[in-house]
Amino acid sequence: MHRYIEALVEEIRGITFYNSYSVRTIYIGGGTPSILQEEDIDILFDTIYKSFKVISNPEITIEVNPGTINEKKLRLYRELGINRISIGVQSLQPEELKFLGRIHTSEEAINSIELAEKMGFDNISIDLIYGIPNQTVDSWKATLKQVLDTSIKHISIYGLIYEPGTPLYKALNRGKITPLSEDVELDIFDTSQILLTENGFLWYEISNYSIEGFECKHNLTYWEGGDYLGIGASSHSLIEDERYSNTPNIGAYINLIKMKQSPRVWVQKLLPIDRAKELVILGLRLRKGVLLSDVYKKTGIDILKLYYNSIEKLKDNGLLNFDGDRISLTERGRLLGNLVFEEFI
Amino acid sequence: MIKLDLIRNFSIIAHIDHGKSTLADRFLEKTNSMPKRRKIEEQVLDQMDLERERGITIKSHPIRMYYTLGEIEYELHLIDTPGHVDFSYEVSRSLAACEGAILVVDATQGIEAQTLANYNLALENNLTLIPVINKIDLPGAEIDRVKRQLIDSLGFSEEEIILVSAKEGTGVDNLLKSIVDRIPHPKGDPDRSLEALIFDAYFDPFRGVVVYTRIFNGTVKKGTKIMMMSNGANYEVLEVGYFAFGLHPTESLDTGEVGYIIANIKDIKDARVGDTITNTELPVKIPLPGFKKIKPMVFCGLFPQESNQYEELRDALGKLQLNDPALVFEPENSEALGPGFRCGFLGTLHMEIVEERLEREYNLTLVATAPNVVYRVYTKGGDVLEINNPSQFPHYSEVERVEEPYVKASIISPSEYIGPIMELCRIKRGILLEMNYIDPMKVIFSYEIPLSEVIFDFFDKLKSVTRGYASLDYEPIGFKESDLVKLEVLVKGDTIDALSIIIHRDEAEKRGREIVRNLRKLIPRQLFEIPLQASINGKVIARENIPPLKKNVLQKCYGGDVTRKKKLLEKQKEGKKRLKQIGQVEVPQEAFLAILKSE
Repeated sequence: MHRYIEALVEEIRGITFYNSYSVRTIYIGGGTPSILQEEDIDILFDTIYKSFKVISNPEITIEVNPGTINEKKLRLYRELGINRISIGVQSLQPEELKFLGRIHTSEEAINSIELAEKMGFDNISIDLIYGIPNQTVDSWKATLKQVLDTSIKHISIYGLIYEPGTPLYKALNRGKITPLSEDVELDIFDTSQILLTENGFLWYEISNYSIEGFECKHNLTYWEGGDYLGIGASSHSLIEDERYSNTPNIGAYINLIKMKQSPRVWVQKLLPIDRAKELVILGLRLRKGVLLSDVYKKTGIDILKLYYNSIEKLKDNGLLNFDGDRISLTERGRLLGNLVFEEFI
Repeated sequence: MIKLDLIRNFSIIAHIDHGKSTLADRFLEKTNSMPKRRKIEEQVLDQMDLERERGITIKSHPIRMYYTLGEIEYELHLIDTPGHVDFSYEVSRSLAACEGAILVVDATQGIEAQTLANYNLALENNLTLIPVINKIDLPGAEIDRVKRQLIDSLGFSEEEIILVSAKEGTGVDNLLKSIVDRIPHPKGDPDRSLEALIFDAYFDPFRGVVVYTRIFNGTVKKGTKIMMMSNGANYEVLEVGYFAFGLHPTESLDTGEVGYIIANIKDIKDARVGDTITNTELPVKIPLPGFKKIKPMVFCGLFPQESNQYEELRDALGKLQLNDPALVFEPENSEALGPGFRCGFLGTLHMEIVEERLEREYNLTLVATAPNVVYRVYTKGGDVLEINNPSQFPHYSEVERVEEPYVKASIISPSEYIGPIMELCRIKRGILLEMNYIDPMKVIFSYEIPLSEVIFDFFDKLKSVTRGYASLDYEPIGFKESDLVKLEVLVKGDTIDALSIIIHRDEAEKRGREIVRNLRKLIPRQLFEIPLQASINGKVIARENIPPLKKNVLQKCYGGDVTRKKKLLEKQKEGKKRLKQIGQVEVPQEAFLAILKSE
């Protein structure tokens, strides 16, 4: 067994405090968990099931990358109760995949979807990226049409960002990359709306679309302000108004666990006002938005009283809908979400 | 009682870095005037930190030395003068307190612009000059060439010139002897009414104003009732004395002497440089010549970065003004930069010093607008307005004509840079008055140039086109008519006061384009399109558009991202706090400054 898996198992076993919780969703993600050996994933689930109370029919997702799965692995996933697969497709255009530094081919991507489907997964999600240099509305349409021809039920679509510290960011700053023009990016975004709607996909979160009923329950927990427990290096948790995270350093994580010490390196107690603001900022990512009465019930904070001016201003600027209780992003607000969120920081 | 003929009052005048302060230090050493324990690490007469850092003298530093020649002890008063064109009035008053001056010229540099300016000031004050060639120890010294310059351009004779290395002490004894031999002793009558020239002053929080003075006639001592002739203010003297690393009280200050007076003066405006002190009873009828009320030449707006520092800024300016009567300020409220002050200075160096002291000594963070001069606007209604703030410029339909201050600029440079200098001066609207050769390698230009051009970036440009070899000095010569217009900048249709500038019509279009182009880069995109326009006399001369912001949203936000994403949003919001809301548009502070820089 891999040392890291050993540590994960140890960490889960050490968690006793939260045993009263029922686990509704499990998400194996971050990095590429599909490269794990069968016996590793097996023992991991064994430990989880032994340590936590898991509800019946939980949503259990695993993130996989095209080219890292096969029938045998998928069969095991099914046996372990995994019922949702999230595939990092990113693009089906060879030059775009190359730009993104992906090792898989577009054929492998499509094959992975079909293989998962064949192995009995009926809740398949994929990730796509737009805004790649030289991308065109046509190349994007081609990718989207091809994936919509499969049996996927859920798509996450992210615009490419140049994050400081990444090689892409450096290349951009050195002038080696010409970023896609904003106009093309927006055309691509509009195209997505039309094509996805035609195919029965609705946006339910800023970057997420699904066939009705196939929204990701796990991720909804984050946006709706529910509690979650993270396991492993760099994982984050929110339990009873306390946010905390484990060390991001895998070596340090393994050592801490070995020495029976807590891998937590950061803890933050959220005051009711912090919780209320988070509920708004995260909830606004959802198409349904946030019920202010709900925020009040959970935190005792009256958002309307605190942010009346902001809400009015955002409404006037056409970024926010407000019906007296529910606030939600408008179509325009969805693209300019940060201008809305920052009002509630 | 010291007899008049044992006193010598003199100054050292020189171009910057020609070794004035080193020579002064050498005098102190040779006359044993240096306090024993003090190490001579730095030039001891430049006291303020800023003076030391910038290598310039801002305040006058008079000092008394006792020098024995033969059997006789002489009382020498060295008045170290400020060394910058901004303070030329103070220099002229310091020189007026002397009978002679040592004109120091660097053997490696020769005559420079301030050498000449100071030489002329000294002649105006009828001083006896001792020409000195300094730094003769340096390998690059061109003693013969500099001698020729002094002889040919300034009319000295070869025998007058004294060769010195202030650094090594060579020639300094000879020079001290020459001071006694050549510089006339002061004249005057101790029995007449008091006539004393104020040549500097500073405010001491415990003792009030300490007045630096030269007694021309009469005597002053504790209890003397004195009157300031410019405004009739009366005081009773509490203490008199002389300077020698601190104040040394004496029984009296007598005719011919240089020293200080303390008279419980609370306001430095009652001790104006150039004013005459006389007796309250039996005052003299006519003050000493040359008194001028100093007027600020250069103005800029100073605004606290944080508006809650406004009161602190006001207090700090008030404190600086206690010691600096040339500094003027009045409240200014800018739509763009909030509440602040419009401040007037003697020149750009004075302005920089004040800004630096406010930031350093009072811990303020300031936003300073670009400096401007005073404009004289003649309206069609027959009024004459003095405008020190472009936002006060009247509507173009009311303007009959406009005048701006001009200076006579002297530029000295190696002759190989004649072409670039003339081109620069042409761009800066200069009118060539004359050009002469100091020697075959060195040339002096005399130009009439608008002060507004000189204060902008003229000196930097001059240095850059001459690889640092040119020197510049200038003096105001009054107002002249110019074809000036107000260039206005409109952001989404609103005129922005802090972005207006007064500019020559020929330059307006180019600058207008530069400004809107710069603004386009500096103003972040917003929810709507923002048209930027530059206009003169109601006519748009340049235009740019900032397209609306279409997309700004955090794409991914899952369980592990919440805290980090919140920080990003906080940062974004923090950045927006520094934006000033103008009408509907949010404009960053840099925009108000960057637009004022030329390309």
